[in-house]
Amino acid sequence: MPTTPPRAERHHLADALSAIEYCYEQGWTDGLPVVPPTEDRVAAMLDYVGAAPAQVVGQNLVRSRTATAEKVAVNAVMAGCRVEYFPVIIALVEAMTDDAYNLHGSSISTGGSAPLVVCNGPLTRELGINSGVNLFGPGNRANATIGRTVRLLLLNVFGGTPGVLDKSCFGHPGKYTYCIAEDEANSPWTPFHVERGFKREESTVTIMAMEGPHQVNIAGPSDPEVILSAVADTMRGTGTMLASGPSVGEYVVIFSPELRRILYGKGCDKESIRQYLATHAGRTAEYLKKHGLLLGALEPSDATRWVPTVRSAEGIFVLTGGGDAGPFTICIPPWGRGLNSKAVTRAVRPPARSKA
Amino acid sequence: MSKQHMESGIVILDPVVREVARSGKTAPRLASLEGATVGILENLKPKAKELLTMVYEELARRHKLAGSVLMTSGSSSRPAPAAVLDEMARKCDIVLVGLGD
Repeated sequence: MPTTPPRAERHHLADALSAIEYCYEQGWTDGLPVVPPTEDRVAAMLDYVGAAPAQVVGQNLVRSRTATAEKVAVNAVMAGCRVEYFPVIIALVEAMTDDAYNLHGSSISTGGSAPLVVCNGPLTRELGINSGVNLFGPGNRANATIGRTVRLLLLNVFGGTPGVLDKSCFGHPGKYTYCIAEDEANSPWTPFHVERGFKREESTVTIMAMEGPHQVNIAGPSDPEVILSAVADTMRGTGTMLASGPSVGEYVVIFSPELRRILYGKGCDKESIRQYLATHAGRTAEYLKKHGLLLGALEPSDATRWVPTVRSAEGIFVLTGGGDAGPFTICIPPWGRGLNSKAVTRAVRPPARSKA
Repeated sequence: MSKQHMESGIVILDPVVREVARSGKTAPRLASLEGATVGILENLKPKAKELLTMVYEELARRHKLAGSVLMTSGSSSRPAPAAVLDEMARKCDIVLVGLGD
């Protein structure tokens, strides 16, 4: 960059309520009230991670926008974050500005995906990021405000104004906030971040462009094949964008504790689940062509030609989470068959003033 | 809230990053399409190539064109690679672009 990014402009208001209304008037909110980003609150965020205001955290070249630590902190304050969440936010900005994530394409598409944030590692427990009951629901400050910060950054820092650049046909509620932790403490399986090459004791964030979560009820069966066949049936759903031919991923499946106990008890691990789903989720080419989801003229061999929903097992992310009671699974298809956006994971760096 | 803020109101920081003005300028518009080479930059969306080719054929019906150059941007959700744009700039007088679906 040729010049140092300018410092944030200051606005003078009569009081906090006036500031909240002012933020509405300027189009700086997601529709909910924001915490006024005062100088002292923003400074506390920056101090916590030892960042200078002009420090560049990430850039999006397509939109010619640079996210400085100060602007990121302003939006984190507005979203309601505690300062202790700011290292997570910094890692998230690094992840969402990675070219592989494709911030621009994923946030303008009519397909209406939202950035799903998955947190792993010891920091998630320290910060109280929910991995359990009511996983995608309200009631937890960390989940609500970390996910909301991503949305405010897309709006204010990266210019993703709905109806202007963001052309989602429907969008989904995850566009307000969409942040979870994996339930590592109560799972016998390898944590997601370890599968992605990080150490168990590291803390990470993963961002991925995803459709909304769909809950699958699998009450009664104790045979893993019956349970997983229900998941595979949901994955291949005609209505998902994923159904339009083989996807390169990355499909998220989250198993509740109740189902995990059954599957683990019958010898299943994440890898065997992935292999089963990759093999059994799919449609015939004939079905896909008839529904306009696969291009080309119908051929006799299409009646038996199997088209997998996800091209390979590596494209299925098996996660753990959810409340203790309930035989449920969550299925989340990726935006646009995973062709143009990849999940990106970043380590969360400890704050400048470590408690050690 | 600090004492100063209580006395004189509240100061908040602007959360918005404005787009950096880009350098460069657009190419001069053609006075006429007669003898022009027309680029067709399709983006792999279903029917994008067909749609743009139809537009080209309509132009060819109305004007005496030199011909067309068909290239792909490689993705409907990412900018076209610089090498593709450079080649189009070298070979074409105008370029047709547009989404499919």
